[in-house]
Amino acid sequence: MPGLGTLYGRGGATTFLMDLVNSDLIIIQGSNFAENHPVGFRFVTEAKKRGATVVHIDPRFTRTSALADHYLPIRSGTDIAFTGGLINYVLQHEAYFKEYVETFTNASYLVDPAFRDTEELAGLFSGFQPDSGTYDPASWTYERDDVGRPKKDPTLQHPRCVINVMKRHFARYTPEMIESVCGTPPDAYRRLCELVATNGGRERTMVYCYAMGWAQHTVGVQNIRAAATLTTLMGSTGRPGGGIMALRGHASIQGSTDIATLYDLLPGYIKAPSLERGESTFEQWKAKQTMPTGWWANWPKYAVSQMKAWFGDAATAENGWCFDYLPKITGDHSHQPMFFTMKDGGIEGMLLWGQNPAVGGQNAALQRAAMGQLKWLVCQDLFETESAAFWKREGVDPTTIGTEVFFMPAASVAEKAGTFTNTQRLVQFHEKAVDPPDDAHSDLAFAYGLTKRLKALYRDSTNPLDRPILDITLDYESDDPHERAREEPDVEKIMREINGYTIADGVQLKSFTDLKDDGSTAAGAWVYTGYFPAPGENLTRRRTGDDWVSLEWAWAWPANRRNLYNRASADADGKPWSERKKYVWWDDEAKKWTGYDVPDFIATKPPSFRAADGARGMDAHDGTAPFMLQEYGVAELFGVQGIVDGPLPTHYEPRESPVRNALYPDVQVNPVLKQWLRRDNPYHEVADERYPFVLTTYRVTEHHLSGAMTRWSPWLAELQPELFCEISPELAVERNIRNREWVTITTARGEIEARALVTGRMKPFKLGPKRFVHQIGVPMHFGYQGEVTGDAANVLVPLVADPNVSIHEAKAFTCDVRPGRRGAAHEGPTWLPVPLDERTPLGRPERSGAVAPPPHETVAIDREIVDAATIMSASRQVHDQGERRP
Amino acid sequence: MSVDETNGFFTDVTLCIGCKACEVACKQWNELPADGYGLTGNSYDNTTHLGGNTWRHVAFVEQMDRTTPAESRWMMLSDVCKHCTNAGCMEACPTGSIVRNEFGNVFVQPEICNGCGYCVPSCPFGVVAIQPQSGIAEKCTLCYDRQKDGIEPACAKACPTDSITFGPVVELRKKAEARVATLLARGQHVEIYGTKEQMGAVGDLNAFFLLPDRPEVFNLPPNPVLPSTYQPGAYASLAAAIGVVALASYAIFRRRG
Amino acid sequence: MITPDDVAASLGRNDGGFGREQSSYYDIPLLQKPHWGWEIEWYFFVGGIASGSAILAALSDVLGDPADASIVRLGRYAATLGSAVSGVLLIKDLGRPERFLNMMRIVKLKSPMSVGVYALTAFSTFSGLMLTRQAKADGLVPFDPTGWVPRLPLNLAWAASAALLGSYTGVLIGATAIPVWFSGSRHIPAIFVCSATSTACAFALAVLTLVPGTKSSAVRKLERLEIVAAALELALLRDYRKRSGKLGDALFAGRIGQTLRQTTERFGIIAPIGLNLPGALERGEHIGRAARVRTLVAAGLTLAGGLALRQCLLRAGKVSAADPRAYINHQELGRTSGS
Repeated sequence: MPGLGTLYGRGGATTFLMDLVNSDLIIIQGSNFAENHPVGFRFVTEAKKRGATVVHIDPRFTRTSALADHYLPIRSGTDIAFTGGLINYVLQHEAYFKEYVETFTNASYLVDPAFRDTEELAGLFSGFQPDSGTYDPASWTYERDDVGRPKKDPTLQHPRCVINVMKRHFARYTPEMIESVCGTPPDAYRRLCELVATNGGRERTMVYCYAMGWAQHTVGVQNIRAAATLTTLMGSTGRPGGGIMALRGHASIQGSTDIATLYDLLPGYIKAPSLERGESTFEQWKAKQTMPTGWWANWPKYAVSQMKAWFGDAATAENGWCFDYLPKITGDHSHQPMFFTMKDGGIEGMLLWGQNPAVGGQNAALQRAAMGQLKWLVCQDLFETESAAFWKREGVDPTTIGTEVFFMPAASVAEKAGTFTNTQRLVQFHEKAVDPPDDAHSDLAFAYGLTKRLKALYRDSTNPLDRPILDITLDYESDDPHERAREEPDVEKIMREINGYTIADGVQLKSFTDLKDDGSTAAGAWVYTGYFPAPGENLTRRRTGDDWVSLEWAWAWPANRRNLYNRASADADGKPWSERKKYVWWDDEAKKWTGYDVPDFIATKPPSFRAADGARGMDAHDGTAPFMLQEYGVAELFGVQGIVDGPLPTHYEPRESPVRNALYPDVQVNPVLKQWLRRDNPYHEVADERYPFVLTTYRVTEHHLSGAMTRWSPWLAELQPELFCEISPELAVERNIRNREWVTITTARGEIEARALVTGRMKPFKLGPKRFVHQIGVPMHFGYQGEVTGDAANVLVPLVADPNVSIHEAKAFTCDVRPGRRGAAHEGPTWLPVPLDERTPLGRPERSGAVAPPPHETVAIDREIVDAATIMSASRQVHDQGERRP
Repeated sequence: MSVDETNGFFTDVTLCIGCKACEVACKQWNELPADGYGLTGNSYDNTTHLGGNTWRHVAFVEQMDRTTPAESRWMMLSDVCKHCTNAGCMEACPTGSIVRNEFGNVFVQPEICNGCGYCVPSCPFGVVAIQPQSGIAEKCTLCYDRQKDGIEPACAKACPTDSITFGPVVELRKKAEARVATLLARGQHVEIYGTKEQMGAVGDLNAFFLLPDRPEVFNLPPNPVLPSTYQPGAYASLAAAIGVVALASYAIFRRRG
Repeated sequence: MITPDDVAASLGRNDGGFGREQSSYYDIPLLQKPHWGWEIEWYFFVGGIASGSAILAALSDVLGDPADASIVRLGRYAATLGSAVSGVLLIKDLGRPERFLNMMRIVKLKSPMSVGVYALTAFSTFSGLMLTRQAKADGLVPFDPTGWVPRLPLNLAWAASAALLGSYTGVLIGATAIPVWFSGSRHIPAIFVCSATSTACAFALAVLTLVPGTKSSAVRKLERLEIVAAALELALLRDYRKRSGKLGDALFAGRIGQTLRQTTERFGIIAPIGLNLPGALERGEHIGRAARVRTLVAAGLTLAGGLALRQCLLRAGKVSAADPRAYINHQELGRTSGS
């Protein structure tokens, strides 16, 4: 996630769950930690036992809030305002950890004079291109001296040094502003400001725990950046109990980003070659991707080793290591535009592995309609999911659908061997316990078997397009006759290839520092090099723990470092900032870094090391630069590289909102967000009276994602058997809704029905003396297949995305709700074919810039709503019977 | 069976996150079926009560305070058989199926029970019930089979926050008292539920709880009743009535003259 | 139009707090209710008649009035048949009927059900023996193996087991956690004794009125005993209602209360007392046709009332189990006997 990647250098949680017990302040926001990561939450309860304060900030009072010391309400989609207010507070009160910030961040660097902040341009940064709807980031850079080094002011007085740019940027994020935007009561907010201000510095650390509640927004990346900024200002990153605990949304999605299933990344975070960046040869690709300074100076070693791993002897220096075999990026190939292209008839076939777009995809009905335009679809899954059965769903005549659907039964996790990479980058091997039933096979067996069969089919082909398949290395045949008979490959052979080995003698590599760019080494993913350093030494199998860092429990990337950037736990001289928060320090006798963790630093580089002028690679970083993958080794509070919607997080409203952007009335939403203006993807405009309420979607403990694995299990199905919609009692009175009765929720994309769960845990947001916004919430787990069924919440959600990573916005949009059941035709206009003039080439998103301001201020109710006191007194009368005296 | 050391549960409501892993782990280990599907509208509790097929049940209690929001709370409690020191079910059982095993737990021997159902209204906590599929009385066994192999019960194992802890009751009591002291010092009013002083004739509960509110809020009885305490009065009534009717009968049926 | 009252009500009894003390858990029943259905309702009824018939027979046999011979004979047949039917009903009610013999794995005096198992076993055995004696007397079998046992001890043993059988069920339901039952734990066993007596008398009256050869003195004795038992039963029911307070609502209020009041108290007790009274006070030998009709009607009403009493009691138990507030607040809601 660039939220963390652009600030720190690596896109992943900076710390590990066990370390939360050392935290003094745990802020959980954009996450329902206790419900969705219940086992990880044990470390929060342990932290509480040791005296930590736990704060939960969320639109709903959830099971996480129940265990928190403080709960603060926040309107969905306003997290940057919220965090920005905390940043503003610590900056104004000088409560940030000065030495840490001066030494380890770019706070003292001077910003280019051409840069203009949103405060100067009424909501835009400098460099906005209205025609393309994108930013040219040229002015988001440093003022440099004659030799190209950034200028700095160590005294932090210069008006253009980063910290003062930040002060001006966040100056209007006051508690009153936060109240009018987020609906958070100012006194509670002020108490939180003080809590944050007193939990930084040498002796105390704070940690942010976030999940999809931050990621799934059109400002998702900036949500995360804001929190990382605050954590860095308080000096917590890289220290015990500090940093950013990114709680990933799937059991092994960290692994899916490491060994990439993203279209724009190759395994190990190597950017896929892009014609849009002019990378049409290996040399061009290498030139663009290799950084002169910092760790990415090693790029060629990782890329070449990867190509050798994939294509073996066929990859040579002469042919650019089979560069031509790789598909090149020519547009936006992410999920959303892909499905638009599919809907428009531009895609023939799809392989769907453990993914369920018919329920999990936004504008779910459009995704279902899109699949109906395929010629063929292969689904491999544990059960016949909604995607596998899209062609026979309610309201659809199967004779009108030409897609040929193949359903391949999948083995479940206990029925195959493999690794999980969990949210803290920990790679753990799991054994196979039993054979899968009947014809079920692992996904790996399917991919392996398919490749083998394609190779056989193409064996005599002379077509150059078939060469990649023929040249792929595929030495994974199992030595176990039972597995071989079942066509299951040997997982550890694949792991060996990912780990890497010297080609000449096949010796497995111990570290990515052993990788070469001359074709003598092969490694599928350099970030995992070292996890299988010798035959029989699969480190991911280890299970020796010590109740804290547990370096011998499995293996974490990179290089088994658990708490990243831990150089920052010691001061400029290499001494721990405090005894209480000791973690990694410089041992002057042994002349190396040591401590409780693997130092995330060059082990022998002393703190006193200063880079010579013109130095290259890692030699360009001082001994005080913990963020090795950043250009200058410092955390980039002002984001200079890699972020497309601004160097500083800024509050914008979600694409659909009932209120105007109070901070920047003329720039309602993220000006460079990705949207698609098509009749099958209609959006609500701001303060659309037809859809006055905010809707958020979320998950609950009892089910997992689209329910494809949980709604088929009776034990789980009985725990949450029906789709429900959480509604505040105040809204229930207004809309005449009774607890447990059916309600229909409507957006322009369609409607769904759910059972009303009227609960005091939902509360209208008070943005002002008589201004309220109602919010309701729906879990996204239900679909039309399974032991228990229900409507899919994603039918309501439009396709709109964050511009950095194309993640969808599912956490904040608008809707209407009314009592009663829905009609039969509930999938909205999403089935409509879209005329050519409404389509964009290759499904590209439209960035039409800032969305036009709304015709009126807000749809927030400006009369007194039925308030809590009235409901309380009524409830007292109703429940007068059977009162027990204490 | 002689008891060496009684094992039990300490369930701490202040640590429960309502994840229901205990409900599922129990059903999985004991191969119990689901009870049926239906949203109750009672917060997040859709399984409602302990029963023949549900031996761990999580209760959800919402107390949202609009005037003082900081006092709002959502409490979750994992209910279970209390394995009482004086167990109403065991006293009632006519076949001797219900016994106290070597771990001090109340255990229904499934091969002996014939489903007479007398234990069911005899439980002061509404725990044991007839399982429709097997026709016999079923309830938490405190994972007797797992204990015999030296491992903790499935629910305690699955509980992510150690809200449910297992061990010798004597040690659990000490832990609980320490926890009460900690929370009281932080200004949180909590109480242990299950001491013999509170439970009357039922005696100490070997599966006891830390509660932040009154027991009835969680569907626990504040004054549980041990049925056998009513027997003396009942038998006295029986004897008196027989005596009176016998006298009347004699007076009416005796031969005159 | 939904009002705040509706919303508050619809939030469930656990109204989400809103500053309000909660007094139960969504009004979900706290206790489990017993599964006992018609088998147990009829068992209580048949068992009561069987045991009462045995006592009548034993009594008449011991006191030796030849005019009561028909009571003796009927009692012996009825007791045996009744105990067989009781056995079948009880076994059928079990969740695992094939395991009924497990009831005799142990003797557990602390369990009223174990007591009852042995009471029924003893009673059935003695009934069978008495039936053999009767069958020999009736010339149906050539030999009576009990012939050598003197009359008094055998009858005493039989009557004792009968008395226990007809009343232990009151202890069984009185000693449970169900509020309506435990609040009547000192009444229900006595009520069952009286009801067993009155229904047995009614049964005997019904049969003996219809068969020829019944002496009028026997009829009058049965009528007198029935009146005494029924009057005592009514007094006990009234006292039970008073003392159980709100805990007794499950039995004395609502539809069940209505049925109890009409079918049992009015038609099952008061009316038969009235109908039987003339006959009870009579001394003559002759029983006219009108008197026979009165007796039959009274008997039928008594039997109906007796069945209704047991049905009301058992169903009230289920209703009471379903009321969590009764159990939560039982110490305040009724002057309960016992603990």
